[in-house]
Amino acid sequence: MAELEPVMHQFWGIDELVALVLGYLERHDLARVARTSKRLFLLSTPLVWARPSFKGLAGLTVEPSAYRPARLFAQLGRLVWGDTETKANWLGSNASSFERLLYYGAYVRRLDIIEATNGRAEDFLTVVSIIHQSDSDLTDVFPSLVYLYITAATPDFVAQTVRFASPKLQYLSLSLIVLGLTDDEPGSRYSDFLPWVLDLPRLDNLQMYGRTTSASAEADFLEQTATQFPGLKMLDAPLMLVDASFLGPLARMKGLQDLNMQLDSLPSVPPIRCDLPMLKQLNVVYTRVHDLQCLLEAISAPALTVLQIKSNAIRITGTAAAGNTRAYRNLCTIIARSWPGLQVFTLSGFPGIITLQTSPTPWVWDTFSPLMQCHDMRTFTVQTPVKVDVSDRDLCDMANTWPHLTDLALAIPEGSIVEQPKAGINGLIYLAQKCRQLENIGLSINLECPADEAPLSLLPNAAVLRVDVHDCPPVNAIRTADILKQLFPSLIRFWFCTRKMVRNNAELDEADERRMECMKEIKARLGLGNR
Amino acid sequence: MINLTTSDNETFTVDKKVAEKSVLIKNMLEDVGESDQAIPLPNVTASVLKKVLEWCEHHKDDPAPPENEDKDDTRKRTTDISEWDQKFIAVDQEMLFEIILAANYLDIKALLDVGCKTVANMIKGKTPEEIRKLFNIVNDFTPEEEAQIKKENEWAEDR
Repeated sequence: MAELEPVMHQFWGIDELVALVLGYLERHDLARVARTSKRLFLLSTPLVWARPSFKGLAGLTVEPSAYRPARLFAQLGRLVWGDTETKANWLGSNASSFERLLYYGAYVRRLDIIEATNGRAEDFLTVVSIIHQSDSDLTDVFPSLVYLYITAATPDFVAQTVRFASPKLQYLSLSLIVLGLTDDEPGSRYSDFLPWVLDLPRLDNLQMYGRTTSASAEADFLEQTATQFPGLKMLDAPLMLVDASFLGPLARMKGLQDLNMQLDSLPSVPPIRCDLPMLKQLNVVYTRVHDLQCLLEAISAPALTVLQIKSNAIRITGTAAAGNTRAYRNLCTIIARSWPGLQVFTLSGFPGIITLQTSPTPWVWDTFSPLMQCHDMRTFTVQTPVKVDVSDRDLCDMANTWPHLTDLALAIPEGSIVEQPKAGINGLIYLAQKCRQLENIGLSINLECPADEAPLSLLPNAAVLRVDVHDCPPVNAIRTADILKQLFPSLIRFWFCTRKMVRNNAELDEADERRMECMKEIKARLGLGNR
Repeated sequence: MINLTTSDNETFTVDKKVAEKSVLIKNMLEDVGESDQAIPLPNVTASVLKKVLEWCEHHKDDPAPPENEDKDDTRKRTTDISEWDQKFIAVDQEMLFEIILAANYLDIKALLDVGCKTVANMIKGKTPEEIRKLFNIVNDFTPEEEAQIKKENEWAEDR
């Protein structure tokens, strides 16, 4: 008796379910699925070609030998949907390379047009040329295009891309990479782009990546852009050194939701108030604290929920640290007063401190405690090489005030060890019991739990995935690992500080070796030895 | 408790909370009210319903999924599956597809997602020939057609 051929499951005939599966695949897998059968080709192709590279589009314009797929696939669509048994001769039609572009172009929803910094963009120019020769409109070739991302280094290139910016677009992002500015010649180059920028039908995201330029030099560009596009949602100028002249254009950007900037010198009193009713996220890099304070006082943004601050300062020791602490407490008071709905606060920066002769000074919790007024805090991370010293009492206060916390980091594993941790296991347990959405914890903490105490009855917190204990001294590894297992059953990471003491002291070095051995044992007992 | 009858005429008695993981059953209960009469499920066999109910029992206390998910179709969704779900769905291919069809019919979105993610994970990294062989998909392209499609999609196959 002949063996029955295995048959395809009926699942593959239900397009809506197959489409769900395809929705989970990356483009390279989708392209392979498209090559398995005609039906799967038709289902995968709109996803493969939703966001093509210009290399892919330019590849279509190379004339094949005898085979012309554009008309073929147009027929294929009808045939597969109408009658899966129908056979037809799909070869021999005279579809041109332009028709092939039309076939796939119909599925394109997003295009990324990029001018390399060496000025080369051959594939883009090839496609533009083919379309130009056909006398067709770009909207005929890409009728579904709604997202356009342009990255340009020269005004001439922007001039070429503007024709892709149809009024049907739902999102337009423009990144301008202005090269060649030096400290000796910090003039404006953005203004050269202005005629083309103002010609765009919309602008949602503007990224300015020119080095050493200043807001003062770009005042005209910013002013005109802000006036033309008050609906601009994102402004990203991480390399521009922003001064007071930036605040005027900024005040016009009423639709701004996301602002990323680097501060230069600002006056002690804000010269202008910027009402930004839509601003949700502010990322700012600064060097002097009073510049940051000026900016925060200048901005009125009732919708702000994310504040990410990065410092370019290089020292934070001794008296400088004490001064910084006071300045930061003042800043935190301003932040808490201005944005009680803040959900994300991150502070990072302060590089290179580990090499200094003098010992770094830990931050004290009192510096940040004004932010406890922000009751909806989800992410609170201070990622500096020096820890923030907290006590059990501080952790309990945080747990009571911030029940929705998902990320809490007050010490990073790469940081230096400067003093014994004040917080202990009880503070950690309290935090875990109260903050049920907590996923990531990074603290300077002593996990010691007296062995003669009765076994603890702990409510597990399965949300917690990562615990970094920074400078925990040697403890009873067996008991500590047992507690951590009970407390955090889903743990996938247990990290600790692997740097030695800052001071060159043999006795302290030996103690530090013991600390690391103990942490390694806890990690192994948690079943995370290789992670 | 709720009674459910399968296509092969087997009746399952389950906790209402478990049965209501299915939006179809939940709506039926809301429409007709509770009664002793079994709810017929003509598109599901007993062996499949048993598996589906095992999943519903395990997930009965899960929070409801968010109504409005991100509709940006240019961003791919994660194919991560929880450890329990991975063990649950480690079944033969026939049962996997039957669970997906049942989850679709019963309108259990989270289970449907687990099934579809599992199929997607089976596809990842495979060549067209390997995908065909795995799922018994018939290659209905001519060699010329296949060569042309390969050429035109080459750019997309680069990772």
